[in-house]
Amino acid sequence: MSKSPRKRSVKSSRGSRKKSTPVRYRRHGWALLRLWLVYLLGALLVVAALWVFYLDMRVREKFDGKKWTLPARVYAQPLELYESLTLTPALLERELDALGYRQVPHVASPGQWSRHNQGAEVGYQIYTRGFEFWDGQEPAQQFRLSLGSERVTALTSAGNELLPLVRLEPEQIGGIYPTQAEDRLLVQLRDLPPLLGEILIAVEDRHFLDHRGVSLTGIARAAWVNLRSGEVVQGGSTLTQQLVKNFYLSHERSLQRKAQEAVMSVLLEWHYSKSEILETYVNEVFLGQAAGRAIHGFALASEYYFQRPLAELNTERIALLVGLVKGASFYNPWRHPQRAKKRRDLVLGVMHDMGLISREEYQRALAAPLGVVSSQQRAQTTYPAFIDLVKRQLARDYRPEDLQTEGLRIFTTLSPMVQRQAETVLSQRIAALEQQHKTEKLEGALVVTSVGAGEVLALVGGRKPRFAGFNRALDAHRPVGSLIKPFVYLTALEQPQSYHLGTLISDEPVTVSSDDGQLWQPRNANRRSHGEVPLIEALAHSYNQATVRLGMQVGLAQVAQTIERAGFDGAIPQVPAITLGAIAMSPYQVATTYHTLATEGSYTPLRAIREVLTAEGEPLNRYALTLQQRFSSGSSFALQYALQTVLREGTGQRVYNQFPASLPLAGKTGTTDDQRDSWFAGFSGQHLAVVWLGRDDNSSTPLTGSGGALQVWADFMQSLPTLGVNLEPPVDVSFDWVDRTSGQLSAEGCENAIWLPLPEGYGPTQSSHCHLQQQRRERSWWHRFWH
Amino acid sequence: MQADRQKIYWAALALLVTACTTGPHQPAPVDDRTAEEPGSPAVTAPTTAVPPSHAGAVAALLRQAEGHYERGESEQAIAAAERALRIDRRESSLYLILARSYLHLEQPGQAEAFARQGLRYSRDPSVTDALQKAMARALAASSP
Repeated sequence: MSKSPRKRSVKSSRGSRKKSTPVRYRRHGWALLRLWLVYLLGALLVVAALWVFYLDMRVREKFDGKKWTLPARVYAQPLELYESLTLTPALLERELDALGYRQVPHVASPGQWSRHNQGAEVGYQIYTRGFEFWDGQEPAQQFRLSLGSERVTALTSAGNELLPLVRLEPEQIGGIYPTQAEDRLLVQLRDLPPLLGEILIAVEDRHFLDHRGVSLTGIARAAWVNLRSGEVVQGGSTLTQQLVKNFYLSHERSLQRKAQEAVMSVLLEWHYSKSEILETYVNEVFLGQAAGRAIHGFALASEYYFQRPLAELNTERIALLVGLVKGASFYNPWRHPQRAKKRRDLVLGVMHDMGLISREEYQRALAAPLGVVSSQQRAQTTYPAFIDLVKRQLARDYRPEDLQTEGLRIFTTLSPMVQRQAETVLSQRIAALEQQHKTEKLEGALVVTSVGAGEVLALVGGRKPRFAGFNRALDAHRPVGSLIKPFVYLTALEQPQSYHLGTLISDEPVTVSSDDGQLWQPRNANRRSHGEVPLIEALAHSYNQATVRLGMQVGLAQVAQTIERAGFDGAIPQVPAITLGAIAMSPYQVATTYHTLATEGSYTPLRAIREVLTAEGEPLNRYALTLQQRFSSGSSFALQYALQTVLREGTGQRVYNQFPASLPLAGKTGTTDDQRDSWFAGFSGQHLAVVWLGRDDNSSTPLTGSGGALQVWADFMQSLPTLGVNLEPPVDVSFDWVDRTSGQLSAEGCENAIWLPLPEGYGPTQSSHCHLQQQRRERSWWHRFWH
Repeated sequence: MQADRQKIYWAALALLVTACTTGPHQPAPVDDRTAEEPGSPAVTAPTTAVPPSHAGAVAALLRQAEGHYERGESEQAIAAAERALRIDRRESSLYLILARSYLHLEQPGQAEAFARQGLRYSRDPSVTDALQKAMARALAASSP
C-alpha cells in the first residue's frame, strides 16, 4: 500500500523538472509530507511498542524474580529458662531490655513484663513474642518466673501449671552486609497492622484501590489538598509510581523518566494485583539511614526506631512511620524531633478525619511523645570480635556473596548476657590496673565458652569491644608461659603406673641441653629451690625446675602430643622450653585446650554457630556437637583436682578473695619473660574463661599472671552466677592420705599428710611412719572446705 | 494434652528420684572406709554440682528427643538431646539417645564417642547396659 504512492511521487517529481505546474507540485508536496508523517508515526509506534515491550520485560523480570538481595542475619543464642537455671534479676532485666520488652504494671500483650517482690525472691510475669526456631515454633506465651539467690526457683504458666522450659527470642546481633548495604526485614501483607495499611493508603495514595497505576484526578486532588493546607500533605504520585521510582529507576528528574515511570506503573498494575504491589511497597520504601546501611521497609524501620516488631506498634508510632515516607532524613525523629512530631500529628489528623481512630485515641496520641528509642539504644550493639569468628567459621561452608545476599539466618552461640559482662569487666579492670601501676596502653582479650558443649559464649578482642580492630582473642598468638604446665603433668598422670599427684619430683636446679647442644638452666620465679616435692605442689606453686625435670622425664614428644590431643592445632617446637610454655597460642586456642581439661578429657572443637537457615526458615546446616575422649577420666579428674589446688593454695589463691569457699573452681596462671604476657585460664562446672593481658608492641608490663589476668578472670566469674566443677571422682579413682615428703601412704592427723585422688590399683602401697601433727591442722584444702 | 503433661511430670519425678538416689548429683562419699576405719575422715563432696531441680527441663527434652528418635527423625533427636546436654551434661540417657541417633545416621564414630561418654556418667545399670550395646554396635559398624 505504501509502495504505490511512493512510485507515483517519484515519477511526478521527475516529471516536474520538465513541465512543472505549481498546483500539482503543491499537491504532491502535501502528499509527500503526509506520507512521511505516516512513516514517522509508524516508526514511532514501532519504537514505542519496542520500548513498552522492553519496559514490560524489566517490570516482570524484577518483580517475578528475587526482589531484593538480603544480608545474612546473625542471632545470639536464646535465653532458655528452666527451674534451677543460674540467673539474677539484674541479668534477666538487662536481657529483656535488650530484646525491647517493656516493663508494665500489668502484662497484657507480647513484649511486656512486670516485676513484684515475693519476700526474699523476685517474681516476674513475662509475655514472650514467640519465634520460629530451627526445631520448630516457640509460641508467644505468658508465664511466671521466680528468682531467688541466683537461681530460677519456679517457672509456671499464667494458669499456674509447671513449665519445664521456656525459650525467649534470640537477640539479633548483626548482619553480614556488603558495603553500602540496603537492609530490610521482609513482612507479608497479612502481618501488617491494618491501621498501618489503611493510613498509608490514605496519606500516600487515597485512590490506590481504584486507579490503574497513574491517576490524573489524584494529581489534581493532591494539588488542591496541598494548596488548601499550605504544605505538601499528599503527593501527586500513586503508590505504584512511587514503587516504580524506587524499585526500578534512578532518582533523576526528567520528563523522559517521568514517562517511563508512568508506563511502568501501568504495566505493573496490568500484571500484578494491588496486594502484591502494596506488599512490595511496604518492604521497599526507604525509611532511614543507619551507619553503613539503609533502612528499608516498615518492619525493619519499626525495629530501628522503636526496637519492637510492627505488631506491637501503637497509633502514634504507626503515624510517625507513615509520616517518614515523605522524607526519612528531613523528618528524622532524632535529629529533627519538632519536624517529625508535626508530620506525625498531621498523619494522626488524617487518621481521625477518616474515622480510622476515635477522638479520644486521637487526643491521646497527639499528647504522646515520639516514642523512639534513645540514641544509645539506637546503635545496634555490635560484637565485631565475635562476628569475625562467625564469619571465619562460615567461610568453610559458604561463599561471601551468598552471605551478603541470600538472607540466611545464622543462629550463633553468643550469650549477650555473658558477652556484656565480659566486655565490661575487661575494660574496667584494665583501666584500674593502668591506674594502679601508673602505666598505659595495656590491652587484653577474653574468651568465654560453656563447659561441655564447647559453645563460644563471649569473645572480647580488646579493651574497646565496639571497635572492629585487631582481634586479639583470635589473632594475638603469644607465648603461654605456665598455662602449659597442666599438660606436662597430664602427660605424667596418663601413666598411672608411674605417676600420681603424690609422686615426688625434685625441684633442685636443672640443666638440660637441647638438640643444638645449647644448655638451658631454668629458674623458679622466686629463685629458690624446694627439694623433693609431690607433683601436686609443683603444679600448684608453678615450680619451673620441677616441671622441666618432669617434662624431660616423660619426654618432650609426649608432652607435645598431649598438647595436640587437647586440641591445639598450631606449631609446637620440640625444645625443652615448651615445658615452660615457649609455645605461642591465641586466647581462643588456649580456650580450646583448656576446654578439654574442663570436660574431663573429652575434646570438643569450639563452636560459634548452631544452625544456618534459609531466608524462608528452611534448615540448611546444623553444626552438631562432636566429641572425642582424648584422656582417661582418672588422669583428668586428678588434674582438675590439682588445678583446684592452684586456686586454693597455690599461685591463684587471690581468686578466693572474691568467691565463697563453697564454690569449687579450677585454673592456672601464666606469665612470660619480662612479664610481656599475663595469662589466666580457668573454669567452673559451667563456664570456661581465658584472659590475656599485654601490649600490642609486645613490650613488658608490670603484670604477672596473678596480678593481672587472674583479676579480670575473677571479676568476670563473679559477675555471673555459675556452677562449681564436678567433685565426684570416676570409679577408678579413690582418695587417700599421702605423705608429702616420702610419697608413701599416710593417715589423717599425721604430719605432712595430704589428701589426694589416686588411681585405683596404682597408688602408693607402702605406709610411711606417722608423726602426729604438733598443731591440729588439716593439710588438705578439700578437708578444710568440704568437711 | 493433659495426659501428656502428666507423663512429663512422671518423667520429671522419675528423673528427680534417680538423681537423688543414684544420679551423678548426689554428694558422693569419696572414701568407703569411713565407717570401719577410725582415722579416715568422713569427707563428702559439697552439693555444688547441678541441683536436681532442673530435672523437669531435662526430662521434657529427653522425652522430645526420644519421640523424634522413635519416629526416625534422628537430626531432631540429636538437636533436642544437645539442648538438654547444655542444661545437664552428665545425664547419661542423653548420650544414649545421641549414640542411637548417630547409629541410625550411620555415623558409628560419633555413636561410639557418645556411648563412651555416657558410660563415664552412667550410674543406672539399665542405661549402662544400653550404652554398652550401642557401643558394641558402633564398633561392629565401624570395623571393616
